[in-house]
Amino acid sequence: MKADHTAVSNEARNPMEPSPNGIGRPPDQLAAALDEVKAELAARRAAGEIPELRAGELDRQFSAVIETVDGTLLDEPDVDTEGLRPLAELPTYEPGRRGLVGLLAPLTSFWSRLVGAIVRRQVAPFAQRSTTIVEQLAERQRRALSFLGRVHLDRVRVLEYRVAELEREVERLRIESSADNDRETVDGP
Amino acid sequence: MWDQLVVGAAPGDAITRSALLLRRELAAHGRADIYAQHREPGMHELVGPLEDLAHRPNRARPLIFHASIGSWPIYQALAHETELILVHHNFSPPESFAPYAPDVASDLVRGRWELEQIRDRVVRAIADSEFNAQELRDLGYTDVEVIAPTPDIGRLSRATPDPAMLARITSWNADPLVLCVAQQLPHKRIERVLAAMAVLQQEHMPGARLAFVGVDRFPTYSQGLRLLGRTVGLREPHLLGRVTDAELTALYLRARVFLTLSEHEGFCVPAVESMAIGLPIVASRRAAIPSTVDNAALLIDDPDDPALVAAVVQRVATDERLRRTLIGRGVRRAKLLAAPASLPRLVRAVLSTEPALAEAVAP
Repeated sequence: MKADHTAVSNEARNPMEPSPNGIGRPPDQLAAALDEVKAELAARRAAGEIPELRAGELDRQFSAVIETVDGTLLDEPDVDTEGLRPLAELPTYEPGRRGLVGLLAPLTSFWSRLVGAIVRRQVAPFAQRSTTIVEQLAERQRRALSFLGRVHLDRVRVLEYRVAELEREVERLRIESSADNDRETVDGP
Repeated sequence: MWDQLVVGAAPGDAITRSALLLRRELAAHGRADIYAQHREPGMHELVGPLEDLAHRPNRARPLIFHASIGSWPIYQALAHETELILVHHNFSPPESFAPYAPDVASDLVRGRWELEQIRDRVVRAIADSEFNAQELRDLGYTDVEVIAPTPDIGRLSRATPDPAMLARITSWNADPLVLCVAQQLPHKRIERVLAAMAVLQQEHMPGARLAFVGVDRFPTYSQGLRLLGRTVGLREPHLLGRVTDAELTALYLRARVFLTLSEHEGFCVPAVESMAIGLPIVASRRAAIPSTVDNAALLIDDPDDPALVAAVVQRVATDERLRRTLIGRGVRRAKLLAAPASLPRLVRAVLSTEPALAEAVAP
């Protein structure tokens, strides 16, 4: 007897393979339910009960939220570069004039000036250049944060306007609804 | 007899579970070890470090490599392997990670490149969904077998629902409870779930509550989700983080609807768990989700529309006839995908690299 190799049971078939089109499938109750829900939603939207959502609106809103989370940087003070430039001058060590240190001052001072001159010659250009770069970076960061702060506040302001707009709309609908109720009461059911 | 390599081993991780199940089966033929680059606490006894891979006991046989993300140390370790069996689980889309974790995004980009580089040494390519198989084909792989990733859903049936969690759920007075299980990763698009739940509460079911299970991976994204929840007016979301199997079982049993609106899934194990336990699913028609749930879930084409999602969830929560259909189909579907059905297929695929052995153990 020849086996029918075309008949593949559900168990034998690899479950991760796409199902054969429509074969063995019950009438799609799920698709019908989904269509009904979509039709009801479309009707509610057409009646103005639920607002239409612009494409990408959720992404935009969530990106504003992430921006706000990142915005906590704004709460931190600016990077303080004060006092950096005098240090970059690499001033020569000056020994005190009192006690044993004072006694040895002429000798220490000579060596200090000598070592200072050598170190300055080698390191001063690097120290000054680094200081300039750090100051520039700090200034750029300050400006970037100011910009982000302004953008963030603008966005929050836009959202606040929108909330106010919606509150006015709710109030208008409430007034209309109570007016309708009053009319029904006067006219009778 | 065959050794396996995973990038990271963690308790509760689906890939780790799959590797452990496969080892259990392969151990019937001889010693079988698992190695990982990252081992979370609780895994050190079960999984060896990557450094030991060079001295693995079964060097004469191909190494089973579970690919899930790029990794330079793994790639270097693979350079010493002459033959590989590739099990491709899923590479998340790098673009979703770029704003939150650029280093992870670059690992994901490099991961695809690494798969291309090892291609010539792969003697057997296995993908856990048609979606992932297509990704391998795009990378030049020609003979890819699709085998479901052996989710061990039986563990939830074996776990007794946690009494403390059951009491906690009762105290929420959720009517109904909507459950979402997903790691807090950007491509899971949990913001869609929060927005839809807010609309569900505002438009249809004020008593509906969301229980969200999933670990926090990137602080900015997680903070953003919490802030969005407040912004959209979502009432009492229960963000539960990591839970035990007993707690998860309690949640699956008490929930009315399972909701996932992910943009990218290589398979979606939580959906299979939901189906197995008889919880109806509403999901986004994205990536591998349709091929996983087949005709056992309501799939939404536009998950970015919270009003549509909310209306569908409301329908599933209240329409008993629809629920019966979803539950019936779901239980059947889960049975086809669960480990007892898919694990033998995976074992056969591994054994097939050694025809004599495959023939000897064939039923």
